[in-house]
Amino acid sequence: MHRYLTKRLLLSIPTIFGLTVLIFFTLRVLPGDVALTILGEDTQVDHQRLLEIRRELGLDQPIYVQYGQWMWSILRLDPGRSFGSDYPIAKRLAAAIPITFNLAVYALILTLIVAIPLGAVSAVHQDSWVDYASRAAALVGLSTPGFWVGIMVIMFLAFYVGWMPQLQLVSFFEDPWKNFTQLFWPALVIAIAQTAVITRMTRSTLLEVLREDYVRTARAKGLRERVVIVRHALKNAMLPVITLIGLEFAGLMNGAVITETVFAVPGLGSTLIQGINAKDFPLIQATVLFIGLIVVLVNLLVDLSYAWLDPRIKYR
Amino acid sequence: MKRYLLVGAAIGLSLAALSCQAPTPPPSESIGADTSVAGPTAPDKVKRGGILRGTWSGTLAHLDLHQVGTLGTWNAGNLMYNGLIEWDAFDKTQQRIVPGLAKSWEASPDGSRFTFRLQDGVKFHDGASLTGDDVVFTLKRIADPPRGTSSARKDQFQMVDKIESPDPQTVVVTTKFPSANLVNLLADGWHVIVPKHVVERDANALKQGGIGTGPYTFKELVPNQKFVAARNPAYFRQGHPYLEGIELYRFGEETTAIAALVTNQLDMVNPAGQGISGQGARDVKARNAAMVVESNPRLAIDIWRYNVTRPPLDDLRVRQAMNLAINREEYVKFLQDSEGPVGTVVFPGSVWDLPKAEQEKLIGYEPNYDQRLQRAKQLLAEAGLAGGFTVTLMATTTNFEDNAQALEAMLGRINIKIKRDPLQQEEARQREAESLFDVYAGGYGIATIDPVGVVGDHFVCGSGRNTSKFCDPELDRLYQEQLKVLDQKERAKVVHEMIKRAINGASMNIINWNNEYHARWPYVRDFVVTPSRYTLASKLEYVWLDK
Repeated sequence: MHRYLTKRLLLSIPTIFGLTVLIFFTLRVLPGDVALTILGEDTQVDHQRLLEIRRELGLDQPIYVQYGQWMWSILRLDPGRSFGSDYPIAKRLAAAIPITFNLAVYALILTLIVAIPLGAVSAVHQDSWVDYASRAAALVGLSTPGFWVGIMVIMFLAFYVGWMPQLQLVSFFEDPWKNFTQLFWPALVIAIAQTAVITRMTRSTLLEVLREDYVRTARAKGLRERVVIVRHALKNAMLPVITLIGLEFAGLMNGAVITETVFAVPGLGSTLIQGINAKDFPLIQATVLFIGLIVVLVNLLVDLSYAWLDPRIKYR
Repeated sequence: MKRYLLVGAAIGLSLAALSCQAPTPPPSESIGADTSVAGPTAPDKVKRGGILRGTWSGTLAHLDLHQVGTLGTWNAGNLMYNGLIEWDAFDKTQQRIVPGLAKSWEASPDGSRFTFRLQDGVKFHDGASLTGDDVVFTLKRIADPPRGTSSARKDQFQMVDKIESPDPQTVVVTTKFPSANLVNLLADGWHVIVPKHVVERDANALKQGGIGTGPYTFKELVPNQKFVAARNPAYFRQGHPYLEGIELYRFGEETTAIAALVTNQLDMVNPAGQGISGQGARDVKARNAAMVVESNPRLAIDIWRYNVTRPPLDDLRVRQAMNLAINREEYVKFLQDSEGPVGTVVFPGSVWDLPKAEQEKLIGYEPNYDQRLQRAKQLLAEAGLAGGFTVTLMATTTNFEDNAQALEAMLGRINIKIKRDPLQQEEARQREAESLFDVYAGGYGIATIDPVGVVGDHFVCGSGRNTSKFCDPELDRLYQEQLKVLDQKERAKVVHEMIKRAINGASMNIINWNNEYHARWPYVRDFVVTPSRYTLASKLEYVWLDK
């Protein structure tokens, strides 16, 4: 187990290195000039000043030097300061990460509450009206863009219910109920797409498992159907679903970029969007790298959870 | 409904101001209630307290107003500072200047020495007293920034020779030549006075917070998400501000901002700057008829411009022919969400504007469009391009289709074809700055209502936004001359000649001056939208909540 863990951790090093290269150099080839953005909309374009700003930001250095400086700052666990605003990025991420984590947890809970029972019922009652309805709903959930659903939800709440979550986000530890009411709607929008994916996966894997010999044996032993489904079939069907949930959760931690923007949730996603709009390279790099690290970590945790779920799996 | 109409209890600011003739204000179409405010409500009728919650738009670079020109910086930063003098908050024609940190000012008869006497007992937010040294330090920081500091508007102050403080309450600015517009420029809100003892120690100290003399003190900043400011109890304009504080929230989607407004999570959209789209304004009005929704003239223009170094656009006849083929009234209809008067290079209806009869003599402004088309074809024939040619249009993707359709429709009438080159905003701005375009269509905010605003930035040879690479020595001469004419009427005459030269030189065309939409709850009182964002109105020190 320890050997496996060490191997996986070592393997993640080239992955993360590749990620840093990709993030850094992709940003550098994008069109636009951060110095112009900093100079402002209503000012003259002073070319001397543009050069000065680029020099202040270190953008006049060779690109490999810039990359080296960034890597060094990352190794020191100091992602630096925002272009222009000079605001400490660590401080900004420290504020945004818990909010996105909070939102992701709500979205995941909502997803699991609906997706696994629905997928299971759909599989058990294959080709019944419940199954058809669940499959149709999943298809709609998958094919409806999240930003559109978000805007529709906002408009429905504001224009027909006359209510909208309070703008000043309250921390979960300060007031859990208020926190839940504020984040419920964006979490629901995120959960719609996630539910669709996990319902479909639960249904298809459970269908496979239900055809296995050991399920037939369990039924032949006279076990109650509920026990057969829940204790025997569903637990074994969960393995690929767990993988998917892990990846989806990692995906949620990338801030559900559009949903956070639509609902004005000041999490990682909206931070990333603002960084992109302002061409704030250090902020974008730090945010994307953090998200990448989360994906790597969650993948590892998902792999490790296999052993717990399926005792036949041994890590070497 | 009537109770929501603003009472307009005008006591008028009878403060010292520059002499001026009464201008004809440009039309202001109100799509909601009539909200014109003649002056501030009498203090005894004002309800004090409350937090004003608004949106926060524009990119925030940081909060140091001298070093940048981004609207996100202005919208938050301006609340914490004052200028020496300021454009009146209630003058929608923006002709009146009122005292700021200077209680009075006077120009020498030859217009080259300006003496400002400071208000007594003004304190910065950290408790330090304002002195002439702070003002001298600030003005030098703007006009001639020290190493490590940038000044986004230093070019405006090239006339400044010396800045001195003979005593702690007096500042004297001497100019290299008689200056007709130094006072106008100083009144623009970007030129705020900063504390010498703070900035001298750390040139970037004001980027993350703000220590000024203004009506609100810095409380919290989460870049591009939230800005919070609290009432300055020691504000020098006693009794002001009326609000306890300001909270500005950033929205990535206008729909969310409008939803927050109509559900009363916000009291108004951006209080200090950019408004909302026309569609957004109509949505607000449709959802709540009681909401105050206005369309007000702003210092902003929609334009298209030529790169005059690229053939055949280097031929004046070709550019003039293209201008003749453009029908501005028709063009505006193509631009969604753009409304506002057709004008020239000065704010329509201002004291500097050309009389209508004179304007109609400019190339491209003549009322008979058919005659203009004939003349355009004739000019192209003279240039050897009777068969037409193809020109590339560069514009941002957000408004590309509108501009492309307008230009295709109108230039097609003189056989000019458009090749489309839509770009993302950042790339378009970069390419425009480097003059890598044939024809560029876009929009600009204008920093000042003074006639230097458009001509100085966009037409003078070598100026920072003259990306057309246009040079006309006679125009430059007129520009320099009007800077030195102290009598306003005489200056206006030179300005008129300058306008004619700029328009007929056909390097940049102004389609229209923009109106901007604003929306707020009726209980937000004494909020005024002035043509420029950079006036005392943006400091919100007269705004109060009637609830």
